[in-house]
Amino acid sequence: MSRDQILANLRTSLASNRSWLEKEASAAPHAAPPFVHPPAANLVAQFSAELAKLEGRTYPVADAEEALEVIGRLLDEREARQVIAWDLEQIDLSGLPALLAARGVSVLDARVHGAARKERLQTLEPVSVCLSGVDCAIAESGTLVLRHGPGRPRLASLLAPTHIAVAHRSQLVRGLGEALAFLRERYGAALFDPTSHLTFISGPSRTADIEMTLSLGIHGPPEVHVVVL
Amino acid sequence: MSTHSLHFFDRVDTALHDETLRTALNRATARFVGNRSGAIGALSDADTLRDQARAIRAHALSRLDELLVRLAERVEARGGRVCWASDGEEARRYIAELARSRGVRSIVKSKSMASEEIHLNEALERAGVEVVETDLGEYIIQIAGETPSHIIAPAIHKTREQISALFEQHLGMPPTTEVPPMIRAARQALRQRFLRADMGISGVNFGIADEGAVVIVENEGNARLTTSVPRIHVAIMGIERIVERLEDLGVMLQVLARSATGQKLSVYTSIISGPARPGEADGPEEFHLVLLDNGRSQILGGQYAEALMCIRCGACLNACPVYQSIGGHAYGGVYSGPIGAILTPLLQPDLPDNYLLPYASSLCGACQEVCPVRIAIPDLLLRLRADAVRAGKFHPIEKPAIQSYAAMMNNPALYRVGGKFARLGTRLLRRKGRIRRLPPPLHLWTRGRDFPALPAQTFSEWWEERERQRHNG
Amino acid sequence: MSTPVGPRRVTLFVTCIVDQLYPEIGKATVEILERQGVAIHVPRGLTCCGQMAFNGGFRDESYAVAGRTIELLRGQGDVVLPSGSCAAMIRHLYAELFAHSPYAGPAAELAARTYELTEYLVDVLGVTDVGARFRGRISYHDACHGLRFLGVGRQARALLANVQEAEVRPLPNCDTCCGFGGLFAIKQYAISEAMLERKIHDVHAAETDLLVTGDASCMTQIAGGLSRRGSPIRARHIAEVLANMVDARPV
Ligand code: SF4
Repeated sequence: MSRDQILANLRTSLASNRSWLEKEASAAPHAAPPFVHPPAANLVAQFSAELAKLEGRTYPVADAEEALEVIGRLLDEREARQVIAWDLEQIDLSGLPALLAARGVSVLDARVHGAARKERLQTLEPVSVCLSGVDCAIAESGTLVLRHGPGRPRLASLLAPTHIAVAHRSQLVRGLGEALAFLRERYGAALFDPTSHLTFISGPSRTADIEMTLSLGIHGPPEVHVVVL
Repeated sequence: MSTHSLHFFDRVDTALHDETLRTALNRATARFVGNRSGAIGALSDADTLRDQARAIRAHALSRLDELLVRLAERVEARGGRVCWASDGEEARRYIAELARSRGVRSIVKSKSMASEEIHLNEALERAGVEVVETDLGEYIIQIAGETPSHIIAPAIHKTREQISALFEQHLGMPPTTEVPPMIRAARQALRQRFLRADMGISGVNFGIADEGAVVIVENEGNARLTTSVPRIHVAIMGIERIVERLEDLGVMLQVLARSATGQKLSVYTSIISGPARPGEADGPEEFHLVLLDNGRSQILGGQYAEALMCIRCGACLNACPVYQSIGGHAYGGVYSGPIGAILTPLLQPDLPDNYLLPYASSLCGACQEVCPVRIAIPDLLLRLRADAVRAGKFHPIEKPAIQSYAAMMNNPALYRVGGKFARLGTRLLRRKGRIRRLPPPLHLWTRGRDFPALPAQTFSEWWEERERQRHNG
Repeated sequence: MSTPVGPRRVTLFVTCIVDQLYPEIGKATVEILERQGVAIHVPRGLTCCGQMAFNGGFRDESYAVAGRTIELLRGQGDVVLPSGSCAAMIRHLYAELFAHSPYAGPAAELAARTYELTEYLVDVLGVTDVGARFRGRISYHDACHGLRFLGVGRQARALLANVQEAEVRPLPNCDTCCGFGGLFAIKQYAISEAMLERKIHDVHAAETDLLVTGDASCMTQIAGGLSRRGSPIRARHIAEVLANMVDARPV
């Protein structure tokens, strides 16, 4: 059995190098710092500035009404008739279902599995807008943290060229260390129970593979809009 | 273009005479170096973060057996399957058999150095499965029939004109020198591949033992599509690429992104634990984790164990003046640059001129200076050189040359006489105080450089004379 | 500037390359140290640190040469070398070479009292002005081993800043390797030449008269490249500048 062989090799190897490795391991603390840049007093401004550097846009809004206005405008500009979205009750924004209904925008059934998988994917492909909430957002890197799961399809931040995310000021954390600590605190050992997938998104999809020229949207959404209320 | 069959020196020669390559390398490495130092420089405490990264990697390696078992058990508990592969052959067989038994016709792949290491694509194509690389750089070199020349930017050696020609031929794109239409053409073509694929194969940046999860870091979104859209997801992970806890990412992702591209975080970090759960709308129905050993379990016990701390950020490549001059292909293996000169001889021991790679370094130490986990790359290169010598792998002239050097240095009388002859010799060769041609093998020096004529008197002779005069005076 | 410290004694290890190729660098080092009131001792029969063989992978040969050097330097107090590379060999690589050998202890003991010249002047003696003068433009190249394994560079810059009448001009990519690398310069001559080409390009871009560095080996490489190209720019060792042994105009 390869498994046993590999493990036996590892144990033999560690017999000679474990103490050196342990010494190296104890040379510095392992706990991640909560943040790595001096945190700003205004996390929304910091988040917005960081996301702007990545070519993403932030819309700080005063209330749900203003948030709906922004989302409505974004949908109109893209002439969106259909969206791929989280279940609307999972996106913490009252009035969202009414907004979509008023514009005749339907939320497509994003369930892709079983025999109809490829067919369903082709139906979803032409959609121009993805709509999601977030679990938290990291101010110092302009990052959205999305824990997927029932009612929270991963394609709802991936497939269409525009991704609109709704975040709340209370969901902003200072750094990656703090974000991971938050997830742990909130979900404990069950973090991956209802889902297999956690995603950190920092701005639009990008590549520099052609002559180091930065281009957006090679595979993921070229546009990321974050409404913060 | 199959430069790999050539000898190392021929590959170097080819690279050094490739003007396009030089331009591309200069542009890319300068950009990467600048981005990295900007990002690292902006940190409140970069040194501590790097120390932490090293400690975390060392910790994981010190319990590698235990952590792998935990990872595998937890992946299985989540409904995933684990393949322990001793070598490339076992990994290839597992994946090919999986593809066959599931009736897989087409596969999309996101970047995986481990899969390059075991030449997975060729094996799958032989089995009649279509494999498409989806990272833009990887896709470009795949249709060009080449191999990656950089860990992070596999196609940096290609110009936009060359890429346009490739896209014209393979995608029917009208020729252009503009980048955006090329991006659109690639997005469109590859998107359809994703939607039709039966299986997605990805690499792994980190396994997380406690969570039974794998972490995949990228900027394009192709890895997200690869791991979300097809029905089956296969992740290939070198067994050393593991951390114990989710929280370790708070250090590792920070140093990885900054060292690799100068970003604070890569655009997408996906943390995946098994297949989609019941009730989830999307995601793969099957998840397979291939744990690839391929020599790593043995390396862990020897004097190169430290190389297993590597997180494949590519910073050492960009910083290396040798890599900057010759690019990745000249190294001949999957891994290039300073860390490649270590990993290739260790992981691909069958390549015949491997033993030369550790000599492709001036030992300037720029690699170690930028390495986020502070691998002592020059020390490891020196050990590999010693191994090569012990194995009798060196140019026949080297042994007598080094032995006479040692004999002279160990015997002051010989040292004096030898030095005298050498100095006399150089004075005969000098023209206008310099030497334009030395006899072999030193003609390799004077090919492109003058050599100074040696002085009539050595420092020690001068010093002794001075001491004598002092005592007498 | 702090006052020179009382009667100090150091052992000078000029290294084989300075001994045979560049005795002027050795003389300059003597001059600088004696001007600071330091008494100099040069052990008879001292030759080489063993780096060439070590660098080539020939550890047995290196062991013999380096072991002999350790013996000769035993009990000789502070050791100063006008070479970051050879000092780094003793300070950093002897530990690797002599690991698990009877020399492990003596090697560590020697490493603790070994200094590169500019490091000794600035960090030990506390001197940054050695009374040097040079009418012209100077640029400094950080030789790799001194820079990365000893952390030397700041000291040389402090010393050069006090050279009277000199204009110190920045060298672009001053910390990029010149391509010497010991046997690398021969074994990988084509890569070595390509690296030198870039260095020469930067030296020209610096618009300088004198390229200064702390290692005779890098100096040989850069000077060899400049001379081959017929460049009027000269490359010299920092000790020569500090000891006023470089004329303002090329000879
Ligand atoms: S050796 Fe260090 S710098 Fe090089 S790729 Fe690995 S982690 Fe990055």
